[in-house]
Amino acid sequence: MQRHTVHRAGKAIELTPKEFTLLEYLLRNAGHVVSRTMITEKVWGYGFETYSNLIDVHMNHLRRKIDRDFEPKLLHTVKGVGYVLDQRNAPREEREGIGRPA
Amino acid sequence: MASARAPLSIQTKWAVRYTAALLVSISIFAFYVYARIDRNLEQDARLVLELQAQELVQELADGTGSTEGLTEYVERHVASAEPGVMLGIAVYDLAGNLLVARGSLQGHGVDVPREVLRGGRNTPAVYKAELGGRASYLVLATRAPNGIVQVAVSQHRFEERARHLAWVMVLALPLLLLLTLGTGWLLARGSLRPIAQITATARRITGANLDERIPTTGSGDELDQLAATLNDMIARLRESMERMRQFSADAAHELRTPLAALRSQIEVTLEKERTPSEYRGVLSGLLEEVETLGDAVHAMLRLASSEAGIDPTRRASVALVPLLDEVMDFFEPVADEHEVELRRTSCPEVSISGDPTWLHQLFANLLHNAIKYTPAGGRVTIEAALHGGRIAVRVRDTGVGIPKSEQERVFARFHRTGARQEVPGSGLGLPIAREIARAHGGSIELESTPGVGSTFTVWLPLGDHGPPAP
Repeated sequence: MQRHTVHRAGKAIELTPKEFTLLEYLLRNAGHVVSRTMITEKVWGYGFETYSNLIDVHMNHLRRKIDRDFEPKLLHTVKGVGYVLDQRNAPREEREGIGRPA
Repeated sequence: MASARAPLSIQTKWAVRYTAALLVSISIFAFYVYARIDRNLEQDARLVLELQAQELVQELADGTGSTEGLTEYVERHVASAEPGVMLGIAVYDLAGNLLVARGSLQGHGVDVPREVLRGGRNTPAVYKAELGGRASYLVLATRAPNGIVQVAVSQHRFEERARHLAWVMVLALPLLLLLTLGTGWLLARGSLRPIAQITATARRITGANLDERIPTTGSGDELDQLAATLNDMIARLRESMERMRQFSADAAHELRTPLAALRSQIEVTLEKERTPSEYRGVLSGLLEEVETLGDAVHAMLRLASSEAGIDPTRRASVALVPLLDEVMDFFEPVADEHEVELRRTSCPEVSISGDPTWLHQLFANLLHNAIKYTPAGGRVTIEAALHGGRIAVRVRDTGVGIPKSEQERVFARFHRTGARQEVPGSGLGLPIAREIARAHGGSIELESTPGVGSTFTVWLPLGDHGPPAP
């Protein structure tokens, strides 16, 4: 299978095409909270809209690859709302609402 | 029913057409009869003339030759004839000089045709003439060896008969037509009565009243077949109405429980003041539940739309292998988490004509179902093989399996297998998968052995095969 490679702190990380697309989507919306439904629609397209509850699984996979062995953590869960990718390691409570993708 | 402005009823149309057809045929018949009888009457008149003439010729030949004797003979003849015939007799010598004229020919000379005078022809000449400006007469002139005989009869009586006949016909025709119109109208009403019944029944039928049936006579004629066909249609409508009603009821029931849970959470939270952090926590929990509800509503909508069939504008040629790969991509991490091995054997490179979104959903539902019911350490395999013009895609798992008695019910809406009620899901995955396969002209088969595993086989037609007529 075709692989995509990204680098963090000089280390190469292998990503699947979908993981790569997911990361790209999060980066494009860096600093904005994106909901599971938005992720399903933008990254997987139609046909999976009844599976937004499985997005957490994909996020955990991605987090394991890009965040587990690194500091600071970049991928944050905004409980019940969705996800946000940013550098601030701020407490969740300070985030507000769902960000709009550009 | 028959108001002045309303279009002509079929009953009236039939009666009028029937009558018009009869009018034409009766007119032709009457004209023919009249012409025949008219000719026959004239022939009768000729016969009378010829008989009289023959006798005279005989008398002229046998007679004494005296004018007196001849006159007496002619007078006797004329007197003995029927008065209505208005018989007239004239006798000439061979030069054309009048010897005697009696009856209607007395005093009204009618010229003898020249050929008869000259003896140019042996057959008698018959012609029409006016005598004294009155009714027309039929005249016969013939040449005897020793004179010329002329006999005349009035045509009046024959004309009278012909005219009488014509009058009878003219008077009888409208009566006959009136009778026909009435009979036709009654006959049409009799044969159209079933249509009136069908109309009345159809008026009574509503969505809530589909038990009504049009009465059939059992005669098997066209209208009886129509009634039977409509009854079939009503039965099918009733069936789909029943399914819709069942679905609405099931859907409402499914949504009621989570909504009640949301409500009680909100009520409990509102009972007293909470800290912002507590509110946030509750709201996040609520959002998650609402998202799950949203997925369920999505699934219900998908089921409803797949039952309606594929939107032709969304139909495309979908390559099977990339489709399966994309679905597997999505479920790979899910399978990982369940510690289930997910793999695909080599598949034929074929395309399916259909709605790409629906086909994604079809295989996603089957794969999700397989992963959900397969315990850790198990395996889910996707295989595909060509069989004639169809492709069979198998999703095989080493899961808990489904007992025979439950195998049909797994495709029923909101059904969750046996004791595994705790497994999350809308309960619509397999029904949706089956409806999507149907909409593509295919089907889904299930083979399963409890404790060993299940295999769902999706059969789909290849290429541009459309779905069968619904």
